[in-house]
Amino acid sequence: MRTDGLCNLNAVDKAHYKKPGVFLKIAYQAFERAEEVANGPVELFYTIGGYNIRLRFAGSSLVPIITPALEHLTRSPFKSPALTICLWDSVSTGTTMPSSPWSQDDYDARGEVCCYNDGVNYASFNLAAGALNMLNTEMNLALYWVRDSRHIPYYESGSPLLRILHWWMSKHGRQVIHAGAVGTAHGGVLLAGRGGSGKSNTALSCLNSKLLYLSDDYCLLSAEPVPYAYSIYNSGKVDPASLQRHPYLVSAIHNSGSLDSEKALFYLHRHYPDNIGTGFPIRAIVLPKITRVEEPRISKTSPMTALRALAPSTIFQLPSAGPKAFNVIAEVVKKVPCYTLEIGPDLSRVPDIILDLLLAG
Amino acid sequence: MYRVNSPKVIHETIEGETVLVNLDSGNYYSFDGVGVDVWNLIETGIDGGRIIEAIAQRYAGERETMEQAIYSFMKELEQEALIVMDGDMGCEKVTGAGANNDVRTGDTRKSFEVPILNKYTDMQDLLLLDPIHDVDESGWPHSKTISSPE
Repeated sequence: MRTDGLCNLNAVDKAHYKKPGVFLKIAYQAFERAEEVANGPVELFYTIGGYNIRLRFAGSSLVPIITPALEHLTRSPFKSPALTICLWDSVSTGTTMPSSPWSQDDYDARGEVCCYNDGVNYASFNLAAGALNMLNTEMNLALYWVRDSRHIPYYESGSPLLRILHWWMSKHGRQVIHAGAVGTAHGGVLLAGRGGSGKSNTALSCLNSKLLYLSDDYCLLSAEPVPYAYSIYNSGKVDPASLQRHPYLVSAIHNSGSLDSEKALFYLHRHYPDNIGTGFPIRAIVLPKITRVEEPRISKTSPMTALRALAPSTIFQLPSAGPKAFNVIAEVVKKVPCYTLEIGPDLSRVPDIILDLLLAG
Repeated sequence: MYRVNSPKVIHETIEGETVLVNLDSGNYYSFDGVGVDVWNLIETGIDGGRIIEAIAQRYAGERETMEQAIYSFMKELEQEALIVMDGDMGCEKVTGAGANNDVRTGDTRKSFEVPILNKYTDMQDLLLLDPIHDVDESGWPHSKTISSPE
């Protein structure tokens, strides 16, 4: 195994490496070494939120972990990506990452590196995935490094690169939001609410209907000129106890051997390629609510109820999210009607209710 | 006087209800009615005494009750770090306390209702994850099993 750089730094050097942008260049050199060891890059191309993005892997170990959730947005190779994300792990490439310039005190509770994010440079360490995420928005270059790809948790595979996409997209008129979305090419609804509110159950119940599935958890939202949602991931996940509501999904479970400790994860594009959407205008916001009702029922609610359901859970999940995210969400809740959808064990009528809502709008 | 604790606090008012998010604490809040008027007046940068005066002109009710309610509401906003003191004039009582401000014949003012600050703490768990406290010999944090955020 090779050992590279930044060992035994003195205090002055360490202070220099902590400056925004400096460590990104050092880490990029580490990526290039890993790429060399792996005999060149594995490059894959996507269009996300209307932007062409290149994933440049050093070796293939991260490919099956990162890419399944993005498969529906795959494109033929293009020459000038708007953003390039370099991905590698140390174990499979036999390389090491230069020593961290940051100490424990430099991270906040979500792993964001304090004093590094300056509006151009961003860095955070995702403790759950063991992943360093870095971005420079002027170079349109992002880095994603993990020590060992085998330790990445299943839910990271369901929504990979979320932090990098959040940072970069927020500079390009797209806000990552914590919401599901279903609809038709002409318009759809956002499904808002914190974990356990019923977003996933509602979104997944629409797979066998005329509605397109855009998201059960995270999507991109733009407020101007009209509210518009873009797909990021074709994945879905539900608590195993909820699988009885979606018997058609049992054969699609990706992690069926781990349901004692994990939610059921699906890569839906592989099973429902015609039902996965890439984007549509948002006509309404729907707040699912799990109750004991026999038949789902929908009723009007206030924009503020929708804002409370959407904004805090978005802002507090994403590093550096703040006023900008809040303002985008507030703009959208002002522009479209908001509803509460009570759902019980039987979800069969949910797609029709949403279709009726869209037709009436 | 008080001012909104920006940029730590972000807020929006739609259809007579205000939602506020405290980015530091992970708490968020809402209020309506008189609370929205008080908030809007805080945003204009006037002192606490003039806020009470302005509310008394807009709403009908017993003056002392109004003063006490607005004072308590602003203190609560301050305790939740949604507003901060900026200068000397906070929310001390103003002259004329106890004057009759009840509804009079032909009065078009709305009846005063005590403003209530609704507090939501269900997002705190997203901010209270275990801090990074274990690093390897290169200084990089060890990954740790954390339950899905959803």
